[in-house]
Amino acid sequence: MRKDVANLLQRLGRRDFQYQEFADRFTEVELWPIFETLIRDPRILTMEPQAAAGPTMARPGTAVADVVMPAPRAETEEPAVQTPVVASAPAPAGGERPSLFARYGGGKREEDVTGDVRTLLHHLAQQIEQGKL
Amino acid sequence: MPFILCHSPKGGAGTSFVAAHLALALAEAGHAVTAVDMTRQDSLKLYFGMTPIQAIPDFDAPEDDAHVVAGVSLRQGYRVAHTDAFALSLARGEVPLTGERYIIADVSADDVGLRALLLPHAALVVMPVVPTAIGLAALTQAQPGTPLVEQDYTGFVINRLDETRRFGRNAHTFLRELLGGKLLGAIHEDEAVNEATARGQLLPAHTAASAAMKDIRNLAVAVAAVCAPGQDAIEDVA
Repeated sequence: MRKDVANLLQRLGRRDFQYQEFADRFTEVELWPIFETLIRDPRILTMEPQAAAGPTMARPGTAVADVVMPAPRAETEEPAVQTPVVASAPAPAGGERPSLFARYGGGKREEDVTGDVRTLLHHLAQQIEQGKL
Repeated sequence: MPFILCHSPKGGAGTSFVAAHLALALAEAGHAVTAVDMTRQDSLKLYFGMTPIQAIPDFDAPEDDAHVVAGVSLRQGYRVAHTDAFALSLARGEVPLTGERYIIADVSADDVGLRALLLPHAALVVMPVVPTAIGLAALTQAQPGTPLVEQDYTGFVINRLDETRRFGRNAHTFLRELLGGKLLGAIHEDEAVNEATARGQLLPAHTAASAAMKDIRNLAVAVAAVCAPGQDAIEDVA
């Protein structure tokens, strides 16, 4: 432990610090381009049309085990030898992309935000601030 | 019992650290645990107060040869895992990945062959992610053929999180949104980890109030919950 930290603890009459996590609010997250790049990458988020029926991500309150552990593996399952996704595969239209933040809207889509992650984020942020979400 | 595969698509993500301390935390919680170092670096043992020159028993050594530190039985599995016979033994169920113990394997980022070999036998893959731009980008390489958010039997943990850093803070929020319940936890940057290793001490003994160790204990609770009996999916399918 550094001396200045030790001195501070001594002045505070404490033996150690309590760590508290101050997570960013969703609305305060900066829209780094890498985030947008990743959620447009088919290796990160599914691009299957089936996803339109609902988000692929866990909803708040879902038990961790239910999220991490899906249906049991079939006993006949082959070892994981899979065909790599072609990195340059074209991204589908925005309407087919599962919404990263669909949980906030119960999975529904807004026509004016499809295909534009930044617009989507701003739109959701406004709704949160207005107490609609 | 659970075979937990610790692997990250990015080298330097702290996979050995996570594997070692997850083993320690599970042992602290009263579980029987074996930690298997399947990396060529052979560095897992350093987190158990050992020195580089000290050897730990091979994975296939007799049980009597066990080297136990803080309730964790340590094994070196790199040599065994890279023999021609290993895949066959694994397929025949001859590799002791079942039983009453947690078995936690530390596999190098680049050793994707071994990862693929072990994956079907794993109850859970614990994937450390460093909250940097490169760390996030490496997630695209996590498992070819399966989108990240659809990877079953996989739990992610952010490692070396520094919330005084803007990007790290934002990346934490981003990953929480992206991964939902698959994000099992976050481990804060903690210089005590390096200091404890440099002194040849266990982290909990070196710094009782270690922020990283506290986070690891929370991770162990999450992992134990995921692997708890009753989760049909964790049954070995070898």
